[in-house]
Amino acid sequence: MPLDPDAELMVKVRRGSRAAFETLMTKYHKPVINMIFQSISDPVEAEDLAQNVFLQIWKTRSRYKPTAKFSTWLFTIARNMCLNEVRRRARHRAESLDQPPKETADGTEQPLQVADPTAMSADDAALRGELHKQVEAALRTLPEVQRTAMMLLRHKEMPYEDIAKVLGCSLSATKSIIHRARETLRARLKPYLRP
Amino acid sequence: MNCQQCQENFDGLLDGRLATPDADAARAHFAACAACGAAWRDYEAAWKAFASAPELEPSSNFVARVMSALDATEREQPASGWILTWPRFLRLGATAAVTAIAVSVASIGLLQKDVNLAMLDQRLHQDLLTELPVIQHLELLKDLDVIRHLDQLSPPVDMEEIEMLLQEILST
Ligand SMILES: [Zn+2]
Repeated sequence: MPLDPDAELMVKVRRGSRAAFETLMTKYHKPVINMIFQSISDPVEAEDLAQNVFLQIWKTRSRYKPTAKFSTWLFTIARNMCLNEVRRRARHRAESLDQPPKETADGTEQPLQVADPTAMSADDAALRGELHKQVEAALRTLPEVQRTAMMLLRHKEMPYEDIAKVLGCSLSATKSIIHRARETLRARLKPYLRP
Repeated sequence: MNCQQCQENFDGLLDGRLATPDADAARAHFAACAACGAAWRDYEAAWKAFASAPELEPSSNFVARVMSALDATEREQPASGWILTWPRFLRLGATAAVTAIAVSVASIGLLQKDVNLAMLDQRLHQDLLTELPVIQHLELLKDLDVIRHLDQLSPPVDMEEIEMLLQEILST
C-alpha cells in the first residue's frame, strides 16, 4: 500500500531530511499552536511549547513508524507536552497557594485562569466579535479531553478514529466526548446564536 | 426514529458519518418534530460558530525559528563525544550507569508525583494515573546533561527499553 504524503515525508525526515521536516512543520504548525493556545491561553508561550513539540519530533524521528499516521503521532506528542505544561502550572499554582485548585460547581476541571488580555494585540481583540469571544470562553471551560477533541475535529475534520488514538480512548468513548463537548458549546452559545 | 435516537445522530449528521437512510430519517424527524428541529439548528449553529471562529495566527517566522533552534541543538550535541572516545568496556559501564541514573531519576519523579498528587484535584489525579505519558519522564531525564544524549551513545542505549523500564516503575 502506498504511504500517505505525510508518512512519505516523515520517512525522509527519519533519514535526516530537513527540507521534509520543514514541509511538515509548515503544514501543521498552525493547528498545533492553536491546540496548545486553547490550553495555556498565552500566544507567546503556545509558540514556545509548539517549538519544543517540533524539536521533540525531530529528536525522536527514528522512532516514527510509517504504519502510524504522522498527524496522529504529532498531535499525541503535542497533547502530552501540553498536558505536562498544564500540570506543571497546576503544581506550581497548588504549591504557591498551598492548597488544591478548586473544582467548579459541576465537577468539571477549573478553567485555566491564565488568559491575559494584554497578551492579545489590540487588533486581535477588536476583530473578535461577541460570538467569537463566547466561543473562546466556552471552549476554555471544557475539560481538557473535550477541548482537545474539538480542536482536532476542527482541524481538517480529523476522523473520529484518529482523534480516539490521540486521546487514547475507544471510539465509542470518543463519540461521547465529542457529543458532550458540542452539547456544552450549544448550551453556552445559545443566547448568542439567535436574538 | 424517536426524539432520543434523532438527537443521538446529531454528530453523525454534522460530521458526515451517517448512512444516507439514517440521515434522511433524521431530517424527516426534524421536519415533523419542532423540539428536535430547534435543537438541531442550535447544535449545528454552535458548531459552525466554533468552526469559523478566528484562529491564532502564528508568527510568520515560526518555522524559521524552529529550524534555527534545531541547528543550535544539533551543534550542542557533540558534547557527548567525549564518551565515544572511551574503551568499549567503559562505554558499556557508562550505559549501565546512565540506565541506573534514569531509574533513580524516574523514582524521584515518582516520589514527587505522589506528593503532588495529594495536592491536585481528583480529575488531575485520574488523568495522571490513566494517561501519564512516559514522555514526561524522558523530559525529566533531559535535565541531566549526561542523559541528554542517550540516543547518541555508542553502543546505543535502547531508548525503548528505558521507556519500558520507566513504564514498569510507574506501573508498580
Ligand atoms: Zn423529536
